Amino acid sequence: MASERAGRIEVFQGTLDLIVLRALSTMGPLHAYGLAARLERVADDPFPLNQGTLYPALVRLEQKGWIRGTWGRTDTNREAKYYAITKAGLRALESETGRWRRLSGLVERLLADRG
Amino acid sequence: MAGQVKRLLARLRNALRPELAEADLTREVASHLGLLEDAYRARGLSPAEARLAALRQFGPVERVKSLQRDERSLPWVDDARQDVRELVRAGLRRPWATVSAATLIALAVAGTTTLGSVVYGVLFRPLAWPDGDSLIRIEETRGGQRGRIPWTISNATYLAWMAKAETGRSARRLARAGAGDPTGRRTRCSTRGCRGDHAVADAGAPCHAGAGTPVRG
Repeated sequence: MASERAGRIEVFQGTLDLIVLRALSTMGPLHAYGLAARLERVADDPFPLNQGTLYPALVRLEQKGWIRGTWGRTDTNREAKYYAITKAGLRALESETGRWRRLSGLVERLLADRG
Repeated sequence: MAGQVKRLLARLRNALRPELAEADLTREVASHLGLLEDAYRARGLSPAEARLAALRQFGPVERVKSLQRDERSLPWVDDARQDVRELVRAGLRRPWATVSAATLIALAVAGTTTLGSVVYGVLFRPLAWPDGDSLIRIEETRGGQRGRIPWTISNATYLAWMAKAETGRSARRLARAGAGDPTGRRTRCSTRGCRGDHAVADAGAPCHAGAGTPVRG
């Protein structure tokens, strides 16, 4: 249990938004479970994500108009809310990606700097 | 920017009418748990085991719902709405207790406001005249004896002084300069400005300056 917690990745609010936007832009409409499953598949290491933590990000993005949720049915005939990225979401994805690259580049350079 | 405005409006809407969003969230969480259970059952777990595994994988349901509520709504509006609702319910359950409490609060507020007004009016509010802090209070004495009514002067003294002093500033100057009672009575001029001064009245009678008493309106 302790080792699982130690391996848990803290995903920051803005980062999670970017991850969700990117997943929806590449995979098309997904429900929350599908999104979480996608993240777990993409991660190299097991990605110990509490799937419920996606919900604040989903409602935030939906309220901004960057994604839109509609109810539908899964292959197993369960009802689920599918989220799709909007045009505004695509524009936001582009700007957020640029911001993330600048930030991660800065952190990378700082970590590589040996003095 | 447009996204932020849109979001604020949506949060306000959810804060005022949370029922729709709450029902949607409950439905979505149930669907998510169902899909997780399906996945675990497909891996060979029993329904009970699959349910437990799904809950573990999802995380604490109530905590997730609470986080989502905070994100979709304006928590302070939500809290205020709930407080008002509780208040109304409590009021309807015990109306006399509510009326007593409301009366007590009203009296306390009225008392505090009155006290504040008095303190402000007496201590802090500037006087209605220009250079209000230059106003003085004067008193007439005869042979060192104060009059029957303290801090008063006779009409004659008043008229004599006002002929030379039309304002408080002038009166202070008057006291410093020694202009006094034309009738020759000893006159005590009281003001901070002339404390320690020894003035002589026009008619030759000494005019002593005493401890000043600032006048407040």
